[in-house]
Amino acid sequence: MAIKLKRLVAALLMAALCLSAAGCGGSAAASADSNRKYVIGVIPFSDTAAEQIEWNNYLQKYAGPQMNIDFKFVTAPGTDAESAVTAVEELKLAGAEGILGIVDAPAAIEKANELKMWYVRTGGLSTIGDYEQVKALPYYLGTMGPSLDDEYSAGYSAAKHFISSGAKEILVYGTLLSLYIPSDMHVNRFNGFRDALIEAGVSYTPPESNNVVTGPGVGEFASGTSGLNVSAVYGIQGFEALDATFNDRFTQTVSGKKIEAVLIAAEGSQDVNTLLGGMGITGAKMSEVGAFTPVSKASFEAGILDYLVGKYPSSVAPGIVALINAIDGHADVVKNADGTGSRLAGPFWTAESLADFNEKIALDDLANPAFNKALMEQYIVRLHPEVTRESFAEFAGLGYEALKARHK
Amino acid sequence: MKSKIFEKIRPVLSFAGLILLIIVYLFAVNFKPSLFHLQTIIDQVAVMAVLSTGAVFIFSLGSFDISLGVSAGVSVCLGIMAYNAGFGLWGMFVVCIAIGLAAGLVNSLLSTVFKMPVFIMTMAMMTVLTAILQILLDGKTDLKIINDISGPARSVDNTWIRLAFMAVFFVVCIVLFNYTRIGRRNKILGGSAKVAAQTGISVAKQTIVTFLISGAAVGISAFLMITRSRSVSTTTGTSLGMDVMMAIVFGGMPLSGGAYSKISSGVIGSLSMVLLSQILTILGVSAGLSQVYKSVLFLVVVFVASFAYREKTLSRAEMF
Repeated sequence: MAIKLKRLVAALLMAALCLSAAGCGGSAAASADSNRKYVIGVIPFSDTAAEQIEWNNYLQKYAGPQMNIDFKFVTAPGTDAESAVTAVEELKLAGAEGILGIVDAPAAIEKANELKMWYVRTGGLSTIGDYEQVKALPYYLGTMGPSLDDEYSAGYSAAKHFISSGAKEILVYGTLLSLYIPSDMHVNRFNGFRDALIEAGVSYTPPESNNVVTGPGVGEFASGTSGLNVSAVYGIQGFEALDATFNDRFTQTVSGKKIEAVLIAAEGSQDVNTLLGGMGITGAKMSEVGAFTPVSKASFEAGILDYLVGKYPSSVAPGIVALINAIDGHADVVKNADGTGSRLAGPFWTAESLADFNEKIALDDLANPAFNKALMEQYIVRLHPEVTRESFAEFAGLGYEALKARHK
Repeated sequence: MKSKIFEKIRPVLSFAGLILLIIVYLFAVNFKPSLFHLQTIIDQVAVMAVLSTGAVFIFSLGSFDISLGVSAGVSVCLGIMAYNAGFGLWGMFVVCIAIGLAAGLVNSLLSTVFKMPVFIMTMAMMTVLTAILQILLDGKTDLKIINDISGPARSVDNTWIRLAFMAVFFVVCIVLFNYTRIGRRNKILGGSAKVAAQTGISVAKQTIVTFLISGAAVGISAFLMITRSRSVSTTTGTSLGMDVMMAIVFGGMPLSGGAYSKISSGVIGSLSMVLLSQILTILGVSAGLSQVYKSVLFLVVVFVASFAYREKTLSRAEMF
């Protein structure tokens, strides 16, 4: 009985694997008569975040078929370097020639270089330290996405938005605590919040310790001359999980206050709204530095979200074109003149209302996204030999208005 | 009757599963395996195999230490700190081993002195160790080896060094488990603590020795992790404990430990898990679907492994 069962299991596994293999073979055969097929690996930052899911949709449903690319995905390694290295090895096994990485992991980039796989970090610029460690590697193309100045400006403009709208009771959700906010980009967003509030007359005392266990890790805001009452609570890693400890901390921070505006250093407006609702606080308006996703749209529609600064589904496109150029033998247009990996800034989009959100996201429809095939092909050296390092940087830095003007 | 048949075939089931996976793997790479394929398998299997082999000693007692992965994370962190403080490569190795042994000793004392159930106690320890790791990182996301490009830590980032560590540790564990009193006593203790006590086995002493062996595995695993990534983060090792438990079960370890415990479970299970993962990747199965395949397969293996065990175990009604 047992051995029969084992055989059955083995047969089922084999069948499943063979079906998968057959599926893969079919897609390869279908494209055999077209141009060169690129195989690009994707290392996501999350398996569940709405932002990543939208990027995945763009890659799989638009960029893949349109640009003749077979994208291979691995499970998100989180911040564990060992898992990121394993992800690179698995992508090599899967035949990937280059990697679109949405994680900061120098060890993974070094592994990709060792395996002669092109690597571009997209979705945001790497922290300076990580970039310095890997920038000279021959197969490292660089890092693309909103710059750290953009991150700062996003936080600053979000805080200004609520200050100018007259909100008096403000909650800052997400602070300097790098333990839970694991990169320079989040720290810069918080710095933007902080400086706009200080300009409004609020005073701020940084935390003595930045450690969740031994210190407060949050810092304190005081009204000063502003007439504003500002509270701050630090968030859980990636703002994806709300646990009992966090709930207690949140409750202690917010208890007894009539929060009118919440500045969030990432996604999370619906989670915060739920927490506030549980405390009987309703009607708070929120801002996110996150992404244009169905989740953020729902938040706008529900009247929760009032201001969004974020990335959008096709914003990973410059990374794709960089990899295509490198695989084709034209990495020079992507890298710096001295051969090091580049840091190419690409701005956020901003939405100040549901109508504004709808207008912006309409430009990035999956059927004809902002970075569509026609636009991307203009910066592929194989098709347009006139592409230069400068023009490629300009392409990577196209903002909403420029994309709208070029859109066909 | 069914359980007797199962007991006869049990020793070869996990090995047969591994052979099947190797065949499927060869099929996936068109029967043209390269040196890179072999190196990748060794690189990915080494940490889990060493840790799983050490964990078999605890599993044979009928318990499991779920904090092993995070212990390795703390060990990695302190090892890197020692290296960065100038203690060198071997200083780092010694620190890794020392921390692993210390974690094992603490767990064993909590288990023997305070009579805490091992699994529940180590779940609590996992939380404590995670907090310790966060304190050690002092609010930073990660900690890296300094002078990484040219330092000696880079020189041990080598597949064959990892293979050597894994092979030596495995051989030592085979000897300890199969040819010394340590292994024999563990099997008796895993079968019945009461019987073990009646035969003169000191449960406390045996538990401490067992945890120290797994602690040594934690230290070696931590060292191997450093050779591969040369960094530690707040999440280093957090999923490893669960992976180790799955690997041991995949490797054919009886769920209750005891007489049928096999030291090879760790290596066979780790190898099976890595091969399965690579097969799914090579065949282009999506990340999400891969997780589903792995989880379903794990449930099936647990079902098969518990088949005879259920028949031999008194139902709750019979027990009372």
